[in-house]
Amino acid sequence: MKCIEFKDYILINKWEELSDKVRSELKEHASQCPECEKLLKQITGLDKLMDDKIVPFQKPFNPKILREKELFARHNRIAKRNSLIWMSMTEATVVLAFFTFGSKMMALLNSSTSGFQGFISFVKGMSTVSLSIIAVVIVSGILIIPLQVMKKLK
Amino acid sequence: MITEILESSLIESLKTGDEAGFEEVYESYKHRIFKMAYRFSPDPFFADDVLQETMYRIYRGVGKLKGFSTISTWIYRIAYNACLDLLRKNKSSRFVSIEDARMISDEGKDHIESARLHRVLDSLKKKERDILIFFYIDDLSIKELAEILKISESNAKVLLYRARKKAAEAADEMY
Repeated sequence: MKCIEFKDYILINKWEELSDKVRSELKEHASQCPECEKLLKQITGLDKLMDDKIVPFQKPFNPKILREKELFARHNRIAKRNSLIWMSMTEATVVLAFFTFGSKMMALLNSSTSGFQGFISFVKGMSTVSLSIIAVVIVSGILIIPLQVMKKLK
Repeated sequence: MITEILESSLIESLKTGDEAGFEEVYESYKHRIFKMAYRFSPDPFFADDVLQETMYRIYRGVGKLKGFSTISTWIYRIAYNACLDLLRKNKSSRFVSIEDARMISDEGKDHIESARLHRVLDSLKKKERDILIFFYIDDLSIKELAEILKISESNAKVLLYRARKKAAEAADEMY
């Protein structure tokens, strides 16, 4: 047996799962190769460490916990869904207000001397295509994202 | 391991929402899930939370039992996800030092071994640690390990090879 085969057997399998024949071959190889002998010793140590006893656990099954968790989760889902609906409605109202009173607002902003003027002239300078893309992105964000989240929550 | 016939009857009773089915799953897997969670974080309360969360997710998702070769891989995958989610929620309880473990109780020997084990696991990369934990929880095949961790079989083999070698060396250095 070669070292590479030895390592394959030792590292991919559990010692007790190997056949007697393979085990004796592995032992024979380990007795002739100090490096593989060391690996075998290390792996045996690891197996012992990983198989150590853990805190005993004897709690019986309690279906009440499942029902309570379900109730709690349903509550959470409803609360999240309601907050999403409110959020979407608020966003929609803001957009609607902008489209309805947009021109009046723009006129108002145009007449003011605030720092907004730079921003407004920048928006005005944008092409119709760019403005349409921005509008589509905003509307998608307002409509699609909450819908997707709601779908996931269901 | 549960036999195939038992598995199919178990799936049927789970799908009908039969409480006895859940009890059977709980009794069959509680120690293994608890042990797995305890390996991820040496805290019995955390392990208990993972077990309860796993049972709840089984209860909620029994209709989605598709794409898994056995019920055990499906359950382990759920338990693994629950474990990662809860770990993310309480990151601080991840590590217990040998010194802390010594102070926890008088039956310190077991705790010291447990802390040593967690130091070994902490020395590994995430995927290496995960595959090593599952390798020692049950008699899972490479195919099942790959299915639980959602990696290819060849990747699982390489990971397991590397993880066991690294962990064995790390454990040896600690003695």
